[in-house]
Amino acid sequence: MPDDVDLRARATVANALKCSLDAVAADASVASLPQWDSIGHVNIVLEIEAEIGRPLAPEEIAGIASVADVALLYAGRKASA
Amino acid sequence: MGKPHPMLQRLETERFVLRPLGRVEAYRIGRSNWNHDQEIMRNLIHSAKPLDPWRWLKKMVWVNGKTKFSYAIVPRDGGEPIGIHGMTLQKHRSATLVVAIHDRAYWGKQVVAEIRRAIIDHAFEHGVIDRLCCTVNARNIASVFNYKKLGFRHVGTLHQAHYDPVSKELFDTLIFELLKSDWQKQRMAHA
Repeated sequence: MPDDVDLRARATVANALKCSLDAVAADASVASLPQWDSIGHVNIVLEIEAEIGRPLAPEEIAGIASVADVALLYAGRKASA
Repeated sequence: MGKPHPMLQRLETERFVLRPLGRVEAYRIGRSNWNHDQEIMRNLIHSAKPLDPWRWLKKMVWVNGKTKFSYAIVPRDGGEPIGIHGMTLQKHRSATLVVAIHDRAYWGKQVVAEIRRAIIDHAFEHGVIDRLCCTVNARNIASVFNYKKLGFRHVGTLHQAHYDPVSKELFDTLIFELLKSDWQKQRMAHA
């Protein structure tokens, strides 16, 4: 997994949605990325939990809607709701 | 006779027809498709096992055409309903939403986002409500996705507030809200 949190977040989303890293821009979100569906969202949450080694808190789950939100979690800060 | 309530109008989306349901049909579709679906029973009906007809009657939301409405979600090319979407009007021009897609072939195909967009548009445009407020199990991530996708805002969390009849544990519930003004801004931004 790359060190840079933005790149890690993009890699997580790309992996969960089974698409290429190039297809996932740093500003991609549920609104802009057509591959980001409900099953993909479940995979994203599970990938993040595997990556950070703990279940996400309810507020953290509620805050995920973009690659930037995932990057915030990796940076150790709460995603904005 | 007065004008029929706006939420009793048939709606159409790109892939689906939303057909208003009466009490008997809502009961029939719900009970025949959900009672033996463990996931729907667990998350929607909050039961670990199928219900007998009498318990089902007590549990179901009674469509009344005034404050409680249900739509059958039917593919445009015909066939049986793949799910039901319900709306319950509350005080102060608010409403709650509930949905179950029992046909698993349609899971992960953005059905809820598509049909809810039409229902929300219709309810706001016809002045039925000014606000939606919905709750969801925090670990029901697919449902959480649907709220995020439609621009609902997470406004609170009820910790250990509900009981899971299968795991027998308490779970956290997220509260999501959408105001008419925010919806209109979203629609303008995407126009």
